[in-house]
Amino acid sequence: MEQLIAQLKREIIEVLNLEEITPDDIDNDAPLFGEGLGLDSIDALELIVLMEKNYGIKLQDANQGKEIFKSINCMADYISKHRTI
Amino acid sequence: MNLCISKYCSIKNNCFSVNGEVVFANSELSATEFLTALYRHEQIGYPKFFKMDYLAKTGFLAADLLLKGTAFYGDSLKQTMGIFLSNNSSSLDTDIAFQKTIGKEYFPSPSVFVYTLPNIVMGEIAIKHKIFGENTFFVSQEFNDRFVRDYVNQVFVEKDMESAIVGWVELFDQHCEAFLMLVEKEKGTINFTQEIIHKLYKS
Amino acid sequence: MSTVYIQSNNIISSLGFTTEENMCAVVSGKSGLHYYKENTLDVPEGFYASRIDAEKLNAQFALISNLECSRFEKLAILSVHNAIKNSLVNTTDSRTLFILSTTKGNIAFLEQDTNNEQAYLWHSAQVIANYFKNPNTPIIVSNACISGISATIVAKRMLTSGNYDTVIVVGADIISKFIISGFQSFKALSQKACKPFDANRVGLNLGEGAATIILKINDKGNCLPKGTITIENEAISNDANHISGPSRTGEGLFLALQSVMKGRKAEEIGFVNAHGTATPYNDEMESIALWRMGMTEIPVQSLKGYFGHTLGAAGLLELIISAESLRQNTIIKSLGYETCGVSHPLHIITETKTKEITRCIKMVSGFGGCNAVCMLKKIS
Repeated sequence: MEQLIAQLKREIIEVLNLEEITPDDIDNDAPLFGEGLGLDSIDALELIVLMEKNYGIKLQDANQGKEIFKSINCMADYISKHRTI
Repeated sequence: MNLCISKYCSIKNNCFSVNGEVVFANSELSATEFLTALYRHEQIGYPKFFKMDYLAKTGFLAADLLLKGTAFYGDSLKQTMGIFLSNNSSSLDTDIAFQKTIGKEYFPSPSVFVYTLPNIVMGEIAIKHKIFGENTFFVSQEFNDRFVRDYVNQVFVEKDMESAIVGWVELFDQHCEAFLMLVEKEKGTINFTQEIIHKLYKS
Repeated sequence: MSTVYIQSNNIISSLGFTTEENMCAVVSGKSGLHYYKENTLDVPEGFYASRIDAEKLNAQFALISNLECSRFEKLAILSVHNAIKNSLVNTTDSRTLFILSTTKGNIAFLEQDTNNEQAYLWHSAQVIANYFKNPNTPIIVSNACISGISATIVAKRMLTSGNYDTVIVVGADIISKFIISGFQSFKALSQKACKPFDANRVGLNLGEGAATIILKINDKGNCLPKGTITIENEAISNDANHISGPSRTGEGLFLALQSVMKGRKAEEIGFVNAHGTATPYNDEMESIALWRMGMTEIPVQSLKGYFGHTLGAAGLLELIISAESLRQNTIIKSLGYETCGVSHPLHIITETKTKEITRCIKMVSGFGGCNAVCMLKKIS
């Protein structure tokens, strides 16, 4: 799981162009949206693409993202349970 | 009503100038690397910059540095300021980037797609500086100084616009160019005429 | 006091090749929307859209010319041709200007070749202007979904400035894999016919179309014929909030409406033709702006249920239908609406019917936080 979390952080930083953030800056339990990293609606859509492209998880509904993308831990947990690649 | 260019700036050949004076240059870098270097040099401190595509970065930087040091800089609400920009390639640089996300590997990227419209650069400028006024993006093979001058003049005449960011923002395949003017009523000594716009753009 | 008016116009969509055909279809409740199954246009997922039949378009174009040009250019040229027919416009005159409104033009060319000059919007604009032998550099407005109304406003100002006597504004966009996949990545599309302002709306449908208006100015105080539609007032604004999501307070649209409605009471407006894309956020934003303006009692409708969202053509196409509504004293049903799905209930038109109307509002919003509003008035 630690490896997945580290990989996920690197992927998120790259895909969302978080140029001035390092993996160490991202707290595993901190909210990704709102406060924390302050991601927005386009970032949420981009994370949906990341889920499918890197882990083979297809989310049908953008609203599912609200629960899954709550924090890095939430995301990693969901990915480890549902990944197909 | 006398319209004046109270300030102007340009990005050309990895050189950023304000009112004709060079402020920052670096010929060692690529055009897009230069944009990031300029951002850091001017200490703009706006992380969203890194989410923008290259066209938006170009226009956003030029506009930010155009407004810097003027009463318009910052997040005071500007309902009477307009933005009128134009370019040659529309959003083609990013269009090609988006096309790559829908090739054999089909994963269309929303954060790239949103920038496949040239007017988004005006949105980015408006968001940071809270500009609520008119905003229109034109496309032309070359900078149409006559049309831009006539059109912007007419907006000042007919609407309650007090100031405007006007110019050319072009980015395609490492060719990067921006020329922006801050146009205001009765302020400054440079008249907003076609001849002067042409001269400043070419210089 | 000079008046800018619509001298003639044209719409090309899946509902027909003339304004009359399109208006008749709309009045009879016919929709141009259909479901296209997966792998249409090489898009993996199926989609609902309004597309123009390729054979019909080619056949119609072949009647007027054998010019080799792209689908997008054919659409635009044909629309201008149809608008000019029976008008006295001289396109070769230097006092006539062309304005093209489009979001993506020939973007489909990128699929074959990323080095294609035909992908440049000025290339298409020049093909169109050259076809009509116009000596001026055409103006291109590319401002997301408000392009059509922005272009109309630019045209009006080119007339009031005295620089031109006639401005031909043509808006067009075609559906391509590029555009569909982009909107799909935004999860903005509905898999069924769209439902503007409805509680069960989930997204928009794309549409193909071209629309042309020919604007002239009456600055000699002449009497315009009864039924002439004038562009009485207009405004463009920005939300200054987010590059894709509309302002939660409808700030930009509110400011534009405020400007256009100055000196007017809500009762003077016969109807509002909204942008009404049927995305959850757009329709909600428009309801907020109308509520802030005290305009929720004015009949409102969206045309997206008939034409889909025709992007660069949308503002113009919907302006023309609104103008026809004024001329024919007919308010048009907002197709797809059943129950209120916005926080400030609007008076959504649920039945096409006769109503004495003199003025209407056309509003549009787009990516980049832009908004545009036009007020049309009928000479009576």
